Amino acid sequence: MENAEALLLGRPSDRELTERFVTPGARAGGWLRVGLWTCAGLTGLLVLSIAYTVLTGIGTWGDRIPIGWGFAIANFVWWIGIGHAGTFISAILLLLEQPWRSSINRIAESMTLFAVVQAGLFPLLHLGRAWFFYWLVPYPSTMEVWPQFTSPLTWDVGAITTYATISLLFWYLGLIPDLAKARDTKTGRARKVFAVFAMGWRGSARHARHLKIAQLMLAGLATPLVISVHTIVSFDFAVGVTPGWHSTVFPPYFVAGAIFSGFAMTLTLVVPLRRWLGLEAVITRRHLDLLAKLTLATSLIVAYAYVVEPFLAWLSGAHFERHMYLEVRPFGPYAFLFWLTVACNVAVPQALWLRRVRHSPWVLFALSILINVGMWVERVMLVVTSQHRDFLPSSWDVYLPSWVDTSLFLGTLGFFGLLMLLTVRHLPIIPVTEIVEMKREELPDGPAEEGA
Amino acid sequence: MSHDDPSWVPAASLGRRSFLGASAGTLGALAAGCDLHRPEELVPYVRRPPEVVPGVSDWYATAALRGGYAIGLLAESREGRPLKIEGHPEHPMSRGGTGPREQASVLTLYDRDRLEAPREDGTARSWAAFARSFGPRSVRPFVGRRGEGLALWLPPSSSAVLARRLAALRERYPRATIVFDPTSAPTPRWEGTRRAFGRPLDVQIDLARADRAVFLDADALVEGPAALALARDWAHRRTPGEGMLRTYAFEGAVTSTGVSADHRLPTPPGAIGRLALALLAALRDGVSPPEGVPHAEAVRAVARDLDAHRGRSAVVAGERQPAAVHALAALLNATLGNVGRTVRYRESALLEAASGAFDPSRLFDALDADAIDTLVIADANPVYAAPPSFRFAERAARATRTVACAAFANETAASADWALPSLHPLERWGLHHAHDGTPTARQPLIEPLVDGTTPEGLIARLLGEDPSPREAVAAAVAERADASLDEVLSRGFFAAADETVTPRPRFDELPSLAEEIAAEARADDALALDLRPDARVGEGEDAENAWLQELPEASTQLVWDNAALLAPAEMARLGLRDGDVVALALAGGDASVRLPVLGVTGQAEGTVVAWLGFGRRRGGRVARRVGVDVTPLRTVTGVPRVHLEATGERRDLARTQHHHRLEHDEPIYRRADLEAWRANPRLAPAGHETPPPSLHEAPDDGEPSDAARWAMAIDLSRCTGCKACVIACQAENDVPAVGKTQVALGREMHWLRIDRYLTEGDEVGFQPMLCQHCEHAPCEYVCPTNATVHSPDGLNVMAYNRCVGTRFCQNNCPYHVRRFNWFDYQRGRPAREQLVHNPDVSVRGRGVMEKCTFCVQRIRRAERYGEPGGLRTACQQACPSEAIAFGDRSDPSEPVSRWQRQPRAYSVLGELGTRPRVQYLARVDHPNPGLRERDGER
Repeated sequence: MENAEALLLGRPSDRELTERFVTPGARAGGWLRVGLWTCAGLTGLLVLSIAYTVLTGIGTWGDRIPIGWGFAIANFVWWIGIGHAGTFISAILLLLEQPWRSSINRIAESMTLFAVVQAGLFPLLHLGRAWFFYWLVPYPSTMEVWPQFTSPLTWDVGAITTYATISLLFWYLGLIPDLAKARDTKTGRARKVFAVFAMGWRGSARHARHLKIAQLMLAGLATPLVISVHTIVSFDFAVGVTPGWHSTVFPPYFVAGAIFSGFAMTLTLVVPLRRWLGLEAVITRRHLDLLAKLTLATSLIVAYAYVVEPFLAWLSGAHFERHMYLEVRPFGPYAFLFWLTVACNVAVPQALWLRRVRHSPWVLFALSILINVGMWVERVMLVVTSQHRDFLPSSWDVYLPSWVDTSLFLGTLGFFGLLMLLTVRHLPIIPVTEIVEMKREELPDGPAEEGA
Repeated sequence: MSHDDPSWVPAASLGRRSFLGASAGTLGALAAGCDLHRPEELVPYVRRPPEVVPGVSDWYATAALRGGYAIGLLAESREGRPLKIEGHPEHPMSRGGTGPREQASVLTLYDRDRLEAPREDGTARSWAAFARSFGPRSVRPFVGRRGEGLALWLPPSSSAVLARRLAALRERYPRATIVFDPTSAPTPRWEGTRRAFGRPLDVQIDLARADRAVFLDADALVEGPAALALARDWAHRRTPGEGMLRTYAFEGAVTSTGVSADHRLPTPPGAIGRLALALLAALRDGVSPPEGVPHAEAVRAVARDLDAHRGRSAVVAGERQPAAVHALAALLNATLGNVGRTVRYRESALLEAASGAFDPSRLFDALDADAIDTLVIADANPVYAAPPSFRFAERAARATRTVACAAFANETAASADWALPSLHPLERWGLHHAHDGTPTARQPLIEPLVDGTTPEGLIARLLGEDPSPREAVAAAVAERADASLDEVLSRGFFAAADETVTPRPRFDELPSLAEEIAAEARADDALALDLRPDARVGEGEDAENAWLQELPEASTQLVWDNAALLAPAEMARLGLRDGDVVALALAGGDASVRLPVLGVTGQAEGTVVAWLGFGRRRGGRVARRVGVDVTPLRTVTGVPRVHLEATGERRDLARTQHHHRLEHDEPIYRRADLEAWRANPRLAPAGHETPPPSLHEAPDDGEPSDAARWAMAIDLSRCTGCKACVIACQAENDVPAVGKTQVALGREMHWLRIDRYLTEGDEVGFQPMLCQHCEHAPCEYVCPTNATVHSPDGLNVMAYNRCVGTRFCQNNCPYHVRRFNWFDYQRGRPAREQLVHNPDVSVRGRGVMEKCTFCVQRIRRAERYGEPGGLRTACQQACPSEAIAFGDRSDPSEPVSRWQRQPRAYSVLGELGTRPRVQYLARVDHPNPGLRERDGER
């Protein structure tokens, strides 16, 4: 009978921990190979779709007038939102000194980094002339033209590049001690490669101290990013005049939604990895329980936003706002998206009030999939419904994605999975160093050992 | 679409340089007084002819034809290539206005699929080879037999040159059969006036003097050779206040004229005769009213109104109404004392009008008797367009040889033994007559791009005469005018003597007319079929024109297709939805066609409306396989009756607008009755009484005080929704047509569109929508690259080169007037087709946003060189009803300033604080207070 409250099962020694968990993917079975090939295939589809789009034009997508932004922007918002849970776990929980973050933070940080990679593709691809993307970057151009700084899209560039940089640094810094452990346990060429990226980590107190300081500093920098990145993403919509977008509730609403979807994706990744890689000892039911509780909490914030939005529209008395929130969204041609959103993001997470649900990994997995779907549908709903019926009925139209839109989305799912699985396969996906540290801090009566 | 296909390059394509060289040579030859034979040597541009200044346009007076009648035009020529068509401001039948088809004609000129050279059985041949077979010295049967066995099929024409050639032909070949196509001529009108007045006459309506007008199934403001002038007069009488015209429209289809009328009463086309008779009965003693008159109450009110305006009213019968209705309309006008005042009659300007030449039966008998050895069909496509009862293709095949003169390898040309290229109107010489008889000269704007001819030239060749058209025009002018040829050509037309006649009405015809009308009132369950030439592609003549194919149809906003239109209630009863394919079968016949249905609110129940001109089987790549050919249902006279049956199939239709109701109750389209306007001239609905408060106090913040403030005002009272402006904008600004699939995806590129709304009581209103050039433009602040910015003179401008295509500006434009280049729409166009591009306007590449610029190129040209006719945007210049005013708002005396100061001026979505520079003048109608059930009647 496993202890439901434990963050670490059994009494593994530091050596056992290191040997079992430093690169658990190296022992993974056939499922990993199957997953890798599937994801590689989808990545190929992504490459083809990108090539087709860039060579032919945005006309290959379903975008049209007046729905100038379709799947691409919804995917962008969804992917960037998913990243937020990773940053939340690695930065905010670090600052709050939550010991339970240790075992899952590598998975969450990897998820963040790779989600940002997917997210970053879409703003580039959706440009009519993607090859001039750098015109959005403020650089001293010989044309003597700056970007137009009142446009939220130029803020996006700053927000996303900052976020990607911080995420990469965070991920890599935390990885260094574990890369050293991998170096120390491997032989042959792998050892040399790990040695290069371990940057001479010897586990000395000085190294550890510097790392801690750097991580805390980065955590301090990353914490506001959790709030700011999705706030700025929400400005892409809220700054416009379109009813359904033009709303001051968007920044907190988007941030809550982002963290919500991020926790859901963390659960989606953690539950199967925990089982297939045999990580039950380090990722316990307590971890899942805590993740589920955070998911529930953020779901409630999102639900609150769902209520506030139409209420504010009604309160404003503005015709177009009311029409959008009280007629078009719940009863228009995309009503099914709206109700699916409400079902997945508000109704489904209520099951998490039940302890039994929180402690059933595969039920959690199923719920997390539904929430992922719900959050993606919400992004599509937000992007599409607001544009498809705004001011002049003469321009109202409906949006349908093309096969290229769908391929791009599936392709990013595949590319995300590919990066994730490659990490699982080759890199220390469990931060053994931090777990050892936690074990010593939280479980001081364990057997003392040298090494680590 | 097929016209996007880049792979095709014409075998004899004319590169830009060689073309310019040729043009220069031509103009040089012209300047030297030679005629338009192909130059034998090229004149280099270093010694350019004095009238050609690179980069500066020349304007030439020329003419277009509508049903054979001339419309005076001015054509813009740049370095020898015609670019843009405008109306001739002084020509009485244009007065500066044009229709969409005149505007679009430049596109056809450069079409890659035009016939390039004579073809015999599909093989390219020379004119010399043709002359060997058909010249007067060739040993061919008809030569020896004084023309017996020779037949000509010609379109209705007012050409003075053709008249001379035909006279010569008749002299040489007196037994030749000459037939003018009766289906595209106003034969019912001639027959009607013959019965009412004893002779066939053309009718001229003067809305400038009329106070009341009744349109009996007549789309008179848009359709026909006098429509431009009528629309102008109508518009001038739409200014709210005293002296407003009042119009009534009884019609089955929802036409622009009906929508523009003060009262529109849906009436099946077969009931118009009874209605006209009832009107006459109410106005004239001794006439008994017929049974089953629709809108009986309204008819009495209309009659009272007409009675009070004797001599100042007009009754207009529609082109496709039978002769009896035209006769009744003539007798109504005579009863009301309108003849000679608001309605004038004159001998038709068309050649041999109402003579035996418009009766094809003699030709058909001869063909059936195998007595025709040479059938010449010039500028007509009867194999496609003739009613099935003509059995034209079958009969033509009995001729020993057929010769077709056609612009494209159309159905007639493809089945003929010889297909001869027909010249484009802008390549032709001519002297034609306008509907009012004004002799109008036509001069070519360009050396013919193909080795072609004209009906006149073809007859000259048959006679072995010099086909040189300029001499013929000179001779025709010399016959008629005191002025020299040069004077006539430079002015474009000359005044003709007043040839109006005052015929004596024959009321004794009434009993037989009443009998005919009564015979039409059949009580079967069939639907009346209103087959109309399409307002865009005609009877298929302009089907090759992609601009016209992509022009949204007025009542449905449908493009690249035709459909069977039904009243929505009728569709509900039959269980049909938009896009369901039905089979329409002629009652009592075996002809049947399958086409999709569309519901049109306001259409008369019991009526099916379908447009001719689609479903072309042969022709250029644009024309083929667009829509469905409904000519199998065509009858020579009368209103065909059809049975309708669902097939269970569906067809995708591309429409540019899907929602016609103002579902959120915002006052986007404002209209009111005259009395409501008198009580509240601002016509502002509740909540919109005062302009919205602004944090920005300065009226035009940020602009230098000495700069112009370009602004536009659009009078909704005057807009008929004819869409000439849309094509004018397209021609002026190099806007591509993108094809049906792209339009279905919501990607049409029109910078200016005509929104169509159903307002209170299901009344239709047209609202031209274009970039509003907002002072606080929502598009500008969201562009990340500064690609759309404000100019010092208040234009919202696009820097295409700076645009990376985020489309944020489009999303944030409340009017959704921005258009995105989803693909490279201009790629792969052959060099000749690129010649249509306006060199003052950038051709946009893939991935950039574009939109209305207020014709900034015209503004800058006017600033630099001055604009003799006054600065006008392309849409404004084309508008036949002068519904658009444009100018510098900082000058209070400019029309645009005066219009914008009117109390009924309003900004669409002004409450968003965008401060548009385009304002709309609310539509004010002048309904009959005696017609109480007005809303219910519409």
